[in-house]
Amino acid sequence: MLKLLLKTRLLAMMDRVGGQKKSRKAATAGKLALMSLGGLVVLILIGGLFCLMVKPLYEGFRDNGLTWLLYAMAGALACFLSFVFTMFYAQGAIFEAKDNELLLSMPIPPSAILGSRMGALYFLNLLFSVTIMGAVGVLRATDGGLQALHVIIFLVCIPLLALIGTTLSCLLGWLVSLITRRMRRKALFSLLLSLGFMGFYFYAMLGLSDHLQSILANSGNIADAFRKVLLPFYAMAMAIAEGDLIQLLIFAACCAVPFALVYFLLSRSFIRIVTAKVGAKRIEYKGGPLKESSVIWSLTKKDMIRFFNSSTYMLNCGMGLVFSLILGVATIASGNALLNFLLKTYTDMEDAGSLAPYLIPVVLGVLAGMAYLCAPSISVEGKNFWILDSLPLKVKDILKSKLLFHLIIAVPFSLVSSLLVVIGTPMDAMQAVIVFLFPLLAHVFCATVSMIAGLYTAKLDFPSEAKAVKSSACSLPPMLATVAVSLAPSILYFFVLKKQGVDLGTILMIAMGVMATLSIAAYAFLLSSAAEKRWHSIKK
Amino acid sequence: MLQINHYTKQYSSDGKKAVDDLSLHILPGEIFGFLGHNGAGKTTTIKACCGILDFTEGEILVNGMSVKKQPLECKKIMAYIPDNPDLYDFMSGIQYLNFIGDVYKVPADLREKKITEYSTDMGITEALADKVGSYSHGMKQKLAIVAALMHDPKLLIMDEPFVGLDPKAAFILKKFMRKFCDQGGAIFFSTHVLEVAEKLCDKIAIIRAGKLLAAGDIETVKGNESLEEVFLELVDDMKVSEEEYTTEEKKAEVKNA
Repeated sequence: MLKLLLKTRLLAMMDRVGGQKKSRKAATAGKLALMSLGGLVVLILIGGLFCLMVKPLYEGFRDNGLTWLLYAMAGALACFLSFVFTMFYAQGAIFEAKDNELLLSMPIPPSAILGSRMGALYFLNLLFSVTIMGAVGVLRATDGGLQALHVIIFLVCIPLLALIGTTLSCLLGWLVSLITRRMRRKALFSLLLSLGFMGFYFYAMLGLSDHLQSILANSGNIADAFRKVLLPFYAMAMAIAEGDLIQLLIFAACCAVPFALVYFLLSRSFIRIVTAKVGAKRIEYKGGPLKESSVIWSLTKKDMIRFFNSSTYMLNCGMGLVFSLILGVATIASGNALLNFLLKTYTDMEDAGSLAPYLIPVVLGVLAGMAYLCAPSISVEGKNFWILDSLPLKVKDILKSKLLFHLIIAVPFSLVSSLLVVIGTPMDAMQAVIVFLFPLLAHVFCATVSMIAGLYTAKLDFPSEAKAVKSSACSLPPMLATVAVSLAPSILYFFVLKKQGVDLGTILMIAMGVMATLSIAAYAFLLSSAAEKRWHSIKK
Repeated sequence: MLQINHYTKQYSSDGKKAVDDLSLHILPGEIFGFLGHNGAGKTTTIKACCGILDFTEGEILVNGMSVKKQPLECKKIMAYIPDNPDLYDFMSGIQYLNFIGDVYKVPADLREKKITEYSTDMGITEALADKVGSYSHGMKQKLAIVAALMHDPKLLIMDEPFVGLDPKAAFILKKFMRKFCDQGGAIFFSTHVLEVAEKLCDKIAIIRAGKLLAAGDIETVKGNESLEEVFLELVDDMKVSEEEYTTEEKKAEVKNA
């Protein structure tokens, strides 16, 4: 039974990655092999990248006789990353799975249901352990530091390590589930939690070289901390580095006992946990005046309510807005430092100083391409499509409202980001105009292209809203088109037009004209009978 | 009010028809029941009447206007309640009703009055501030009914409207349907519940595998027998077993549903 359930979970996970297959047989043959190969390549690439990043650290530790510390830190990192990235999966797949009640109604022991779900979660955690620990292992092996016994212990430690991440994910997923069940603004909570983790990740990655230096400088203290506090990772590191079997046993106990305990506790209370009907506190409707709105504004509000009620929608389609705001704040906070960073990165010219104010709007334009809010707005209608279809609505009004929804959210972010950049960066009036207009037009361009892409890639049978939102078919065209239109002028300038003495500001002005023209053309198309015809063919 | 003339719906190109040459005429003041087994073509017909499903041949007129040529004008005077009301889960009940009020341009004071009246009848007033996603199937059905009545439609088209309703709401709906038609409105609805059709409908039509078997005044169709007996006899006379429905037809119905 457990095997059957586990197989079902893993197939469901593969469906998530590779899309639903018309034929399971086809999915399990060639496509499965291709997906596995693709996954392996991604893991090797990530592992390779990690290998390059921690190489200086490894060399530093090795020279200080603290080679084991790298294993310990890699183990801790693998656990941290795996539990952060699988926590929401644990919440959704274990505690809030839609088929929990169906499975519980069958003659299946709750422990088997839980076991299958934790097994799938373990598989995900194992991928993190393999990638991170594998990278460290390769680093050590290429240095000739791993002998047969060490390799065997190393290989035993990786699957054991994944148990820690699984245990933590289960516990935190349970906690998040308990908290969000009582909340009315679940989407906001999930969004803030995700942004918090993401912020921490970017903070760690952006200051990586400083952090590595700091770790090297404090390696003695860190080693002590691992010995005293993070015992499992210390035991694992010593087992691998010294070939110490006693430490291996300690590590195995540290991994298996908490895992077994969590499994035991959760399986005993599984029915109570998944069938608890806590729910958010109900608000009693007490009447009150209702406000009339125009049809387009009412449709726009509907899309905005949908957007702000879905953390998945916000995180997948609105990240460009968050990044542009971060860029604005960073410009205010760092002043010329950000400009200098951009200059060092992108230019190597004497007149680079005068070009700097032009590079930020270009970056803001690129970020506008990451805010394709209305691209999935038709697909997410899904089962609700009949509502729009049965109401006396003009197709052009529906499309206009979706465009408006995109712009109403994107434009304030664009204006605030530009304002912060203008305040934080020395520039003349004309440059300030470009800083405001270029990203603004990039957003308008992205909105119109998103709408066309959304119209032509719309699918109403996505199994969930999340799947519709994450569909690359609708998001890639506007993203690539906006990035291309935003970057093309600078590329043209640096490689062709600069030699002919053309000013970058002038090129950006022309680019804005091009963006405006293309946006108007796209908008005109959206109001055409061709777009209407396409709308009516969506449901077929 | 609703005229269906030689309506034919063909899903695939191999000639198989989900609905074949169906003609019905629903007059103002009539409650018209549409009966048939699963996959007979009821939902396909109903969706075509609402202008949300294109059709191959024939014509459907609402108050003399073609659903194909003047869909918006037709939709303005009718309301549709699907069998499975997938409403906007992310909105509260009142937000959804206000949205519908905006689309039909119902004045604010009038929509308040109607929302209060109908939601009280349906027993969902207190829940209107909650998200639709937290509603049970029956509550969603009730909300869909309230939303459908907001703009005083002349024609109500309902697909299995009694599914999921509690006895009180079903009773209120039946009373409302009668009152609605007595005031000149027309109702075209599908149902599996033959007792409801027998007691409520002025006219009925029985459809089988896309073909009309019988239609007319309920007394004429059933004669001295019960509607259940007539329905089963008609089905039996056709000598069509479940296996005769082709996979293609079933697929078409599933897709349509």
